[in-house]
Amino acid sequence: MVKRFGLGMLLILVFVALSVPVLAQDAPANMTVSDGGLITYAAESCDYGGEILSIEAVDETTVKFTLCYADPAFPSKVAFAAFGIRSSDQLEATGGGGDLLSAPMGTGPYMLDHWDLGNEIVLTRNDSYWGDAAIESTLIFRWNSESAQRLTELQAGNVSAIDNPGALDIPVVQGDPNLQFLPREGTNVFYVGMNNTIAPFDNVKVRQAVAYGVDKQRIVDQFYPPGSSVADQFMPTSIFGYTPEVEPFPYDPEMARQLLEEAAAEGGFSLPIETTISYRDVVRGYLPSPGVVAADLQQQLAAIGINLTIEVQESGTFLDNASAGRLPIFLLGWGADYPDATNFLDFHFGVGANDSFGTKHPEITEPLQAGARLADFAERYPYYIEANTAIRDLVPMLPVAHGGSGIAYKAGVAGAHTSPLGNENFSIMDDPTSDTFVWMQNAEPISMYCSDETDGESLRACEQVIESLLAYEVGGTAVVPSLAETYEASEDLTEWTFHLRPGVTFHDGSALDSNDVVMTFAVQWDAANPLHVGRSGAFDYFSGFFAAFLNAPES
Amino acid sequence: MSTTTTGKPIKLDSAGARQLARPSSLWMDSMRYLFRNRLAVIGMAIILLLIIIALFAPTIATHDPLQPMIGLPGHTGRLQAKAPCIHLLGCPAEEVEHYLGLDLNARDVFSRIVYGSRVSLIVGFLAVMFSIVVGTMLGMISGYFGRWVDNLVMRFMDVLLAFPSLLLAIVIVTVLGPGLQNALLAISIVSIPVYARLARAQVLAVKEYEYITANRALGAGPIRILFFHIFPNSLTPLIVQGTLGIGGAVLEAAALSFIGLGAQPPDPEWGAMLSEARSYVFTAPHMVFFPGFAIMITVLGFNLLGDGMRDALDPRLNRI
Repeated sequence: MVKRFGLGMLLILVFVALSVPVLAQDAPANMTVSDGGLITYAAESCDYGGEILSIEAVDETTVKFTLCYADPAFPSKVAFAAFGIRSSDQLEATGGGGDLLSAPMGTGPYMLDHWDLGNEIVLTRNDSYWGDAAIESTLIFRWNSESAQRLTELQAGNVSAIDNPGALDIPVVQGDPNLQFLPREGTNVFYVGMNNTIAPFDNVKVRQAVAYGVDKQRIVDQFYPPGSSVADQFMPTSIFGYTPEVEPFPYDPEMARQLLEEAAAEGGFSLPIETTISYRDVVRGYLPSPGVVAADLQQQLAAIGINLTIEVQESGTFLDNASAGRLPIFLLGWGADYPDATNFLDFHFGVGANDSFGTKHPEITEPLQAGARLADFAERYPYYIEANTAIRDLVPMLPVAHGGSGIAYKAGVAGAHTSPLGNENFSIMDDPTSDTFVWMQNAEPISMYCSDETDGESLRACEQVIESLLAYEVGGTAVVPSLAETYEASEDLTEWTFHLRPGVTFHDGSALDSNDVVMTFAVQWDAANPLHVGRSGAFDYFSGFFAAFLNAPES
Repeated sequence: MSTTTTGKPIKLDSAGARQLARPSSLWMDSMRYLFRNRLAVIGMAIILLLIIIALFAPTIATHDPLQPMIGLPGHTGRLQAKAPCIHLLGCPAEEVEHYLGLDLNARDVFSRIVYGSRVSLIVGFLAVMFSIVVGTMLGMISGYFGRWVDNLVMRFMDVLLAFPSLLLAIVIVTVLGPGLQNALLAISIVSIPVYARLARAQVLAVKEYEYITANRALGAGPIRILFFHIFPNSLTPLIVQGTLGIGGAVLEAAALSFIGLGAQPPDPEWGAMLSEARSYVFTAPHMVFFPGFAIMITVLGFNLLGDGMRDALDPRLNRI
């Protein structure tokens, strides 16, 4: 029996091994090319679990997306930087990785001159840009993780603008006539995540105790910059999906202690609870001073009977550990990519969410699933009340704050603005003292193939060079035309047709056509596509926004 | 100096003559020289002061070092990194006094520095004691027995010495996990070779002396010779090196805490306090200056005393 099975396996393996190179040479199974060279990429059916059924190049300048279910947020999603349109020739030439990461080429107002790794990224003006050409001939991205050093660079005049001045530095900037401070709206959330598969957080009473035991107002008042607010729920107030009807648990340490005692009486642990809280020591708009907030939480929770050991992890390790569900309690946050509930709630608590909060609750996933597939906001709303109530009661995480942040510019910079999505557009800015605009942010982009990045520091750099079908208005969240001049949807919101702007060229001079759009999406969508490579190959945003990959390898 | 055969002191009549009231020993002489060295006395005073501060920290500190002042009486508004408030220097009387201001978590910096002295002194003394004990043992055994024992021990010490000490300490703490105890252990381990080599060199010299040969002729065993006859005569350089080493250990503990591998929050430790405040060096200098000053003054104290001890205990220096 064993022997026969072994032989069979061997035969299958040999067959697979022989067929792999053959398959790789052919076009991917889901791709068809018309006589005119137009590409259609289609799933056999919607059974694979994702949102997209097919992407079709109807003619040279028209692309049609057919979806498995209605998606009112579709335009907002395709406007996102992760879906910046790449040249299909470059995708092919780079094999889906390599130069795509370090030498991005798109249609944007700036093009890459060189990336001096660890030091700076130099971009030069794209003189054949289809829209208004960039004002400054050179744009330089620099970075420094220390807020004091960023401020010093700005004061010395070495840079034109710095991101996220330290909370204590903001009054200094405001008091300096040579500088200006522009606040950035807090469309983000900072939360204390708890994993319901790790004791003692597997007991909902313990999670509720944390919710009752943290004085959020104190954290926001003391440790957040002006413009921040206490988070009542996961959704920021300005984005659809925020439901003021759902009242948060009040701050009540007495109640918290009582819940902990009840939980301890149910068994499994004794008080005080000893556990480890993890965070990454990076400054983000939602959490401007992680170490300080961690220390304050440690002090607050000690008062109700939870003793925390603070553990700082390297940023990438921390994110990996959180998504794999290895952290009992951790500090993390989320900034809006596009303004809709699906970007916040589905990404974290939906069926496709990662394991950071442990096993999923049907009380939360079901209304989310129903709400995401409806077009009418009034019809969707009750589902979000239901979901937000369940999130409050089951406490997969405790939302703490919506962090206000901001940018400090030199006083004379024209066109200075901040974006609630964190994607400032530098092509409309003018530093009168120089023909170079130097931007200093918190960290170096990880790569500039943003389809496979989730870090805002990478996305902002990509957005200067590469454009999506649609875009967000400068300094706002409304969707405006970009590479697609117009678009229309079928009545049931399952068919979306985009009409490309004529005469747009990539930085290498080649013309943009509908095949570029199809291939940009297809290499992310189809896990079996030989160009589905990227940096890590995770393509988090694609699976997060469109539910699943085509031909996803079985885990 | 000279004495008569009866042991009675005699009066010397040379130019720098002095009356010798009683017989003198190396230790007594050294102490006298030490107290005559002004810098060493300053160093000693600093260390004495630090020890007093550490011992009486609960009395000296004005607040609980771990307690944020948020919501306590007399504290309103945004308290993060509040500047020092001293009534004598014009701070309004209705505000609560904080001699060195508040830190990022609105805790009293003065109290944290006072409690931090306990951490630093304990780490400094324990780390040096541990490495002196282990290092001296290894060095003496190595020097006395020689041959393959010597080779084995000293080559291992060479391996330890081949790494920059802070780097090796970082590696050890990374393996053991961050924390003050592990940092202490790491600092001890990296300074073992210094004492081992010192002890070995002393033993190599002392074991050739005739009184050791005489001892052996009398039938003394190696342990007796090593610990009762060689060890006391090899002690001087170890004491000097140890005193200097405490300053180094304090500095290394602060460095490890600065990079997050030593003391863990919320424990008050000078290096960790510096690290927390490093981004605010211009906007809230009090959070950076005072812990830095505390580290500096401590290291200075031990270095001054160590230098003084070296001069005082060196019999080759020509002194009157």
